[in-house]
Amino acid sequence: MQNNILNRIHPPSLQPLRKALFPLVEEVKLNNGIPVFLIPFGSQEVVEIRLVGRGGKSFEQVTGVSGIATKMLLEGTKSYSSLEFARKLDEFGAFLQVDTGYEYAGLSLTCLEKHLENTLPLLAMAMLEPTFPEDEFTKLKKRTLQNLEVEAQKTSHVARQEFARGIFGDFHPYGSPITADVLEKVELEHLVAHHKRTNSAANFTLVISGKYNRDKLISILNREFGQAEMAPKEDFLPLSASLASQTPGQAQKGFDFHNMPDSMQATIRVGHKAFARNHPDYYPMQLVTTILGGYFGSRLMSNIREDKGYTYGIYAGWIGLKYDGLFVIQTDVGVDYMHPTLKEIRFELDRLLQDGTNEDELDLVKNYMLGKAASAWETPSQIAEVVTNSVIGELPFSNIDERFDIIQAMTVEDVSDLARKYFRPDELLETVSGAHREKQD
Amino acid sequence: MSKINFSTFYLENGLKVLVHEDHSIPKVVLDVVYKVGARDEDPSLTGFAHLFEHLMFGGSRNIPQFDTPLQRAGGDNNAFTNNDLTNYYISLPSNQVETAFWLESDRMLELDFSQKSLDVQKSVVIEEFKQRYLNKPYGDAHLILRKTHFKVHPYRWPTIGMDISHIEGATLDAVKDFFYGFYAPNNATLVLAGDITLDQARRLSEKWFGPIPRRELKKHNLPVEPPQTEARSETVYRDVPFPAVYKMFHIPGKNDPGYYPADLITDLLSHGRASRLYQTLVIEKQLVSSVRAFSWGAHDPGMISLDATLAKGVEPAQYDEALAQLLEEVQELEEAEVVRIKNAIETHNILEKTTILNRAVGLAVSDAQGDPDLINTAIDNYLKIPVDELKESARKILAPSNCSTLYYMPNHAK
Repeated sequence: MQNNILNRIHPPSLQPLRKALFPLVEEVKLNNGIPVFLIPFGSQEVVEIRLVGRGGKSFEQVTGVSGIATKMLLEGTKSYSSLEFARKLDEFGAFLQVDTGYEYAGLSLTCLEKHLENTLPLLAMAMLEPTFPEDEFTKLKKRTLQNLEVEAQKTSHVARQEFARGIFGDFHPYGSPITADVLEKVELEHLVAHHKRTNSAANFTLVISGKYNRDKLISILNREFGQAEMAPKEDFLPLSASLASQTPGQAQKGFDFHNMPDSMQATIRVGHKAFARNHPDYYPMQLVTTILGGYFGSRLMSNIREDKGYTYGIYAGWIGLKYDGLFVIQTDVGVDYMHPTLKEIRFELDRLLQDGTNEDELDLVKNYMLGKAASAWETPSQIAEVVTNSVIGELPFSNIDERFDIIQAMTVEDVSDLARKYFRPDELLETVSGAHREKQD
Repeated sequence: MSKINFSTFYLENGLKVLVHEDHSIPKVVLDVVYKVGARDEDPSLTGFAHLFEHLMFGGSRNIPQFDTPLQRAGGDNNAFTNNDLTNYYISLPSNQVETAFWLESDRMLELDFSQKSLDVQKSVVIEEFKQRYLNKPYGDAHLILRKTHFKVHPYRWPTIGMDISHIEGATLDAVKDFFYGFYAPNNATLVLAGDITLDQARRLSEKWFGPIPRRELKKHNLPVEPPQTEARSETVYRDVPFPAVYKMFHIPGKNDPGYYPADLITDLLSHGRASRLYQTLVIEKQLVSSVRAFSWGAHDPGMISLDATLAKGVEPAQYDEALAQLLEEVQELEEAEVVRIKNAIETHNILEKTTILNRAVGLAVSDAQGDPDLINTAIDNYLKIPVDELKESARKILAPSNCSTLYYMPNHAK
């Protein structure tokens, strides 16, 4: 019987890793010069279109204006009221979402190929002809303020906000919180000015992925976007860029406690400032941070969840933003586990700094990261997301595939060197929001 | 929309195997669904099926750690438990597929029943309970209302369990009983999707899952929820800034043709910014700051849940009145509105099948429901519903006598 010879003790032999290549990206220009990145992809007639403008938080002249300004793009256009616009989208089974980041803001349209003829005009209208009706603005602002009041009761919200503020400071777009006080001061005229300034056609980029007829698509794009007036491109820098060249270290370090007396869990965020996304050590530090807390078998997860049971999950990230970055460990733990968890976090960070890694662990993490990356390019939406991030970060597309070689080439010594170079245990900010308990060891 | 093609075969021990081939990317998903969920739990030990799911990662008879060898093979995995079933999936590069067979078959063969693993996972699940339900404003609303809405059926508790004390009470003996009573090849379906051939799937399934013995399954009859005949309501006071109102309506089970109109009505009420709830309650009357409805479809009769946070200064009675009127007005439904909702469902149906993982999970849960081909046929059950049938369904389901309400009030309103 086959049964008798089946070896269940030893794993089946592993096959060599295959390198996945990102699909080719084609750049075309519309008649007025708007750049379009095309990535034909997939077997279903689905198309994802990202329209990226510059209306992000780093371009604000009035704090808090960007998020609500982007949302208002769907609240009325020259041709349609908010409701008519929503019905038109539904009529063609299309989904349109708004997204506001630090250096960009934009719209993503997802629809079936057969409806492009009808849905692309809606996308164009939202960005080129929004009317910012007063009534819709007043209601949206009121709802947002109320939602903020609910959010403020969540330990996760408070910790996220206070940690970012601690790392980047109150006046940095990456750090300044959107509180009720901030939002109260935002008026309709600020939105209109923000939109006009940041979302002129000269600032647009389009990223499109899916299964479509290329010529037909380009002709619709030229009709809807290719005639928009290209005002001279304003050469203004985002605030994040001007601050990046002058900020010294981070604003705050040490234990930063926010008492929320009735909470059952404490949210913990521990970390410090890091570097921008275009730094040459960005991918190497992804690997180092993955060892620490980037996957289910990571050191933090193995210790704090799988051995101690303090939390449902704990994660570490090395986050590269366009002009700066941060290292952050985040978790939610029972309030009695707050200090024991902080102690174990320090223990694991110190252990990585002192002892580095070994061949076995390094090999495992490399395979995990490369396997995961290779299987993450499966839908037009995922593909468009990757390209959009490159566009926003002004990174060459070759950078997408380079990660495989960079990560594959890492050695045990590299991990130790990088950990010692970039982790700074003396500068950790430990932000905790939750109910107060006596310190215990 | 191209059809999701699949082949079916059975092993001698009763394991059903479904194979969906797609060689467009070098990735394969191995999914196992066990036909056991929170509805199969002892009412004094709720949350057990989900706790058990956690233990499935704590090592099996021949393999001390589940995740490590998989990560070494460049794979990733996860699992979920719902009230009807428990589903495990592994996705990995297709040239490493045998690692997934080795891992998944060993934990079907037998778990390493360890006290340490049980103790740690109890603690992890208790933290999960707090994170998802207890440590945020309004987080326990559904937990409370389920108990009022379902009187006898085990859907009266969610998969996380009714209470933290139930999780604390789980013993190693109970873990063993559960495993041998429900985790058997003859109570599971194996789905292979992606870059794998039928021959390969057959050979590897026989090799790794074939030797696992068939087991005698624990059988029990689930109580049938009696029809609700009058409106129910309850009120709780908590430390929250605004009143919120939660309503649940009984709907038919997913194998009843009446499920589809019920689900479509939910979309009509709540899908997108043109929906009735949003337009009437948020925009026009400004009675709520947020509102949503979703249908919770299950194998046995489930529910529609309709949740609203009231706008500052609004009283629950004002909301109730406006909502009652809105639900009445569903009877004035027009064809164009239904067409719009059907179009959204069509797009969504295509989008959710773009990844191999979603197709594998879709086949697995459809099979657990009774027919794997539902992954292809369900869409037509939505598209063919005539307007009249929707009205009739809405009249029955949205009736006040079919509804339970929870008023979730701020302490200061006492």
